[in-house]
Amino acid sequence: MPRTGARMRLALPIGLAPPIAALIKREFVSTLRGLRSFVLMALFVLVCIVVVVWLWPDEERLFVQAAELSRELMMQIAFLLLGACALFVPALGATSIVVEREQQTFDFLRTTLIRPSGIIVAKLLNTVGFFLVLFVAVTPVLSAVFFLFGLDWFEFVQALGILLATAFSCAMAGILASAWFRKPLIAIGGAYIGVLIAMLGSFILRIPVIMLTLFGLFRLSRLRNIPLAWSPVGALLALFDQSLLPEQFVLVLMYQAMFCGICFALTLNALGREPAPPMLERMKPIDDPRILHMRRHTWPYYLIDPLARKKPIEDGRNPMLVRELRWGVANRGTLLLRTFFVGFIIWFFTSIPAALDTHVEAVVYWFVFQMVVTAALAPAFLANTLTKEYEVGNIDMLRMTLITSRQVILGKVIAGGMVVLPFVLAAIAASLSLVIMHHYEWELLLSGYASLAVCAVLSVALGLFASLLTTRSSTALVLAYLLAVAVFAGSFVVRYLFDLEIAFRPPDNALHALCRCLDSPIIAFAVNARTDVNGSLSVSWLGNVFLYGAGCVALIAYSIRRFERLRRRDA
Amino acid sequence: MALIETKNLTKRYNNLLAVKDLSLRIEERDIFGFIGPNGAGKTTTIRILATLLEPTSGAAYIDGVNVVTHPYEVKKIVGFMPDAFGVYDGMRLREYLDFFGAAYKIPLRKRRAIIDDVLELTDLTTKADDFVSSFSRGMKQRCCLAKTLIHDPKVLLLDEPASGLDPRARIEFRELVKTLRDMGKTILISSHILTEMGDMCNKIGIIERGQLVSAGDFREILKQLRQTREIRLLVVDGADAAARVLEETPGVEHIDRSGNEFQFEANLGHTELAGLHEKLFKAGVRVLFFQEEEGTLEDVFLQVTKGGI
Repeated sequence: MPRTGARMRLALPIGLAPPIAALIKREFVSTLRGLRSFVLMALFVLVCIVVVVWLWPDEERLFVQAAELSRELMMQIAFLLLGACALFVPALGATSIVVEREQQTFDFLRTTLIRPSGIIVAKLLNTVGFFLVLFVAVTPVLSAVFFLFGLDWFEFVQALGILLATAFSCAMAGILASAWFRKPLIAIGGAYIGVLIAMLGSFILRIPVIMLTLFGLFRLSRLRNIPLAWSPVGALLALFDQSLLPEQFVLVLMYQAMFCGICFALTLNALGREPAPPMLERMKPIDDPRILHMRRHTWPYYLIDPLARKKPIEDGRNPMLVRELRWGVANRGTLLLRTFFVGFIIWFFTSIPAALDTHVEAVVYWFVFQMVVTAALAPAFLANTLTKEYEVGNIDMLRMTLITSRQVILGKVIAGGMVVLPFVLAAIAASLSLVIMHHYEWELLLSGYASLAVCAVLSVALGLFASLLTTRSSTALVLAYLLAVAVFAGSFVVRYLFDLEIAFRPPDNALHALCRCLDSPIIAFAVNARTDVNGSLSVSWLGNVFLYGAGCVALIAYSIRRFERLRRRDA
Repeated sequence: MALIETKNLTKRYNNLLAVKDLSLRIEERDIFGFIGPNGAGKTTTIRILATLLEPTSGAAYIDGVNVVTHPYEVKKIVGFMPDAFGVYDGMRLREYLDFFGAAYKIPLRKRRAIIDDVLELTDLTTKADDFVSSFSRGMKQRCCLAKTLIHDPKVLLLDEPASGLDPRARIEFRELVKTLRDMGKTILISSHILTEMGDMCNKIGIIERGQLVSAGDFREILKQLRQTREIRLLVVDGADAAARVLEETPGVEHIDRSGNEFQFEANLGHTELAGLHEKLFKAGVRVLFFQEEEGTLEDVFLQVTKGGI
């Protein structure tokens, strides 16, 4: 059959280009085709528009402070882009290979003529491509900056260079995690750790600095005292502060390039190896009671044997809760014990400055630190609780049983709470040093623990809720964190946008008191503790705890109703 | 008594009409083979019957219970095996079945004996202490069937249960389905493997583009569809004489000769067919084989469906 002109035109670009072009095209099209990409982009552009509208000067200031404002605007948008880069790009990269492995399409890819390095490059370009599309989407908003005539083109290019270098690092961190790990959620978690190193890593950064100094290209002394000199964050801050040194700019690019190169090499190595089988498949059940007894008495990590035979589920108990606790939580008992010890060590060492400091603020900051860490970690434990049932293919069998929606949700929530519990228990154990050394007012400790508990339960409930909104774990994880940011940092952002002062003084009117009740539990605790040196429990703090506690219950109740509706229809 | 019944069942997904006015009756102890091309609406129908999906209109009943208004009651009497399923990590087979037993509210004192029974029925007794995540595809299939049988349901809905199984596992599965029929279960089974469906099922329903194009007893449908009989004739000698006799006999058409072997269509009754046999004998043809070819489910399927989705 003769080929039509249209067919020939379509065939040419792929036919003439190396096979990698076909892979890039497929990856890019499938990334942009999804509703998730559109929603993310639309939301991001909307946020940028809000920022520009918010900061846009009135006529009086337009001519006087135009230059200053253009830099301010550019800085806000650049940091938004950097945030998007750190949040979205690693997640996209982290799911690129691991999901293909789950869908069993990765072997198809490996049997094509595309080399492993080609696969990595295609995934990298696709992931960075998403960031570029995001950048292009905000270009009309960004153009507003140039109406104010304050920004130099060279500075703009420098900012773009820093952002692009960071995008490549974040993407490579994600792809490396995707090649290393077998599960998407773990890969995403690993990718974010990689991003932390790319953004704030402190040890390997010294290598390029020393090399540059050795070759006499740059003067190390000029950079030594600049905080986060190697980091994109530090570089962007310096850029908009007009204090960016040329060597700092080069250092940032070199650091990101080095990070990318290391990740690329490690990914290439990981792709050459077969992924290790799951831990459980490698483990053999221990039937010898003597060995089991010995293992269970070896401190501290073998207290729990994940492969011990479990007793049958008793009558009248919630089977979902029993399953989650006996097989889910208990099978990860060793990991939870380790979490407790690691948590205890972190909390204990971070409590030392608070214990040595005679100011109550030190204790408050320590509690706030605990709450932030709990709020940052807990959503991840619950975000895949129901989506994994979809992904593994268990959901239909679960829906067919006589287990009620209430039993399913409560089982998942309680089990999620049990996973977060080691952190909280470690915090309580670590705080004993404070009690012994300073005899703080019990109200301060009580309010700290209560707010910490509220944060933990709220994070768990948000994770669970995110898990009900989608059928994909990676999407649920992103949603869980967006919800957590909205709830925990929302009031802070509102105060910032409306220029409201967070006054550390008792509320002087009913409206102020109501604002305190609606504040994030973390801010409410900090404000309550700092308004009174004795940390006595204020009505607005009690209101806040009650409000958020009730909010958690309402969210869980709503989740039960939503799950009940989901049970009656396919996702 | 109809144990499974649907009346004008319709399911629409936005612009796609997955099932259209489907009316079906499956009697007690029937093994009903539900066949159709990919995307014909088989899984959608089964999922509605399993209470996992709400129909856009129409009604469906299992043992007289409406699946839309009383899903909880239906779940007690239905065992559903989906086409794609997973297993829980870190659970042994006995623990896995114990979980589903508890989920179906089977008292603990009865549960152990029931688990032993279903393990024996599915030939998994030796695997009771193995982790389900380490099973092969065939074993997982049996494990899922064991889970489906745990609450002793009257009705079994099996969606593509034999897909991905090796030949031995398929034969074993076929025997298992027959055992279940002997135990008094009513089974609705969807599959693409038509030869096996022909062996297993006493009734079939053919669905295409969401509509039931044919349903009922397999042999009855075949009879309705075939206007003529297909005869196979093998002679030892006198093949030319046999060819002459066949050509001269009214009602004999489409004669296909290959050496001493003939295949032809005969629009004849039993008496005329016996007469033809006699004519061949008188013409000196020594007949080795004279048999009416039985139709297969594949023939029925190809004749009834148009090949679209």
